[in-house]
Amino acid sequence: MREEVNLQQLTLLLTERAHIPHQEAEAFLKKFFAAISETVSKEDRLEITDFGTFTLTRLAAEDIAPAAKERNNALYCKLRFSPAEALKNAVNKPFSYFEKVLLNEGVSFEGVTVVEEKEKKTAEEILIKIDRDKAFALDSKVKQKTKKKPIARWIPVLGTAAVVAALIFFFMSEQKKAPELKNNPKKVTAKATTIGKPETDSTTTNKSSQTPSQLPKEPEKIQLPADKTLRLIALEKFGNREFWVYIYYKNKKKIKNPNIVPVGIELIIPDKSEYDIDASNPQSVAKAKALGDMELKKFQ
Amino acid sequence: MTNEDFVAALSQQLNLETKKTLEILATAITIISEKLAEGARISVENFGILDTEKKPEHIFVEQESLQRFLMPPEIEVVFKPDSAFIEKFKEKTA
Repeated sequence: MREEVNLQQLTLLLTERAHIPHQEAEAFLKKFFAAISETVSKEDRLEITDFGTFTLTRLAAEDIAPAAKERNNALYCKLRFSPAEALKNAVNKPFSYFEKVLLNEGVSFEGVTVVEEKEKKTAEEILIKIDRDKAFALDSKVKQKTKKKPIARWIPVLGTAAVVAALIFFFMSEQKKAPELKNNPKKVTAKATTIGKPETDSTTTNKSSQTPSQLPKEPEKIQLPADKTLRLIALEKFGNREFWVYIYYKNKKKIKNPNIVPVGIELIIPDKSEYDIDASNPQSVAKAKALGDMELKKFQ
Repeated sequence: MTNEDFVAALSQQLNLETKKTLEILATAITIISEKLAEGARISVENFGILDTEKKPEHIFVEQESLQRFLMPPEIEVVFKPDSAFIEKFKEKTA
């Protein structure tokens, strides 16, 4: 059973340790906790040395996706407490002798959860909902904070328009080049063979003066036969089954679960240099194995 | 608000010298830290609960290097405000 300490017990301890009267200690603690709540509601940040920092983030309702239904009725505040280093160290004293250990490839522990950097949680946040009717002051603060948003919203639209314009310009210039290429096949470049239609334009490939190394490398594509798996393809293409994970990474958009890959699916075979694939290098194999194990754990 | 401003405000409210306020505050924080380190839960009315939660050992994968680290267990300090704190907060904010 865990000990629960209340204000009375804290007061007794403070009286004893600070050598002050009981009433003074009680008044101090009451004011201390009340001052925290009062300050946090007025200021966005309160830092108390050796204790921690309270941070308040004001949000408009539209910033919180699940609460979209209440878009026009509520505002939200996120309250977070981040303990100070001194407090963290004090509570973690039993583990102070442990350090993080770099794991060699192939080493794994059963029952130990794997946390990726992007999934790492920060301090716990408390979401507080405030009715808009009661929060005119806050509403105006949020509006001031989000004043720049309309411009920000246009950035992706403008970006997309710029990309589309660039593509149109590129294809129009390619179309202009096409008649020239037909009239003078000797001038055909590597670009024309890849961007045009190679199967219909046989003269271009035959008469090209470019060496194969100068041509842009087309990724190899195969259709998964009924009797093959990612491991067998990895063995065939890269010389080791463990490199299946890189085929999976390259086709992650198409493969929902690496254990169930539909027959006939078109797979892009990655270039060996892209993932540092080397079957003769035990480290490369071990790295692929560790990554493969990690991916498979996600589907267990 | 910085620690200095907070101590100044507390001194004024309690009618205490800043030096004295700093001493009592340091002692109070030491007591809170010790109690949390002992595994106790601190529950204060109209404020909330200061508690600890154990995060078990885990393998942490760095996004860029894909290096894996065995991380030791960790105790996290969490603050859960009570309903009175939240109501007061709402009133003040509005």
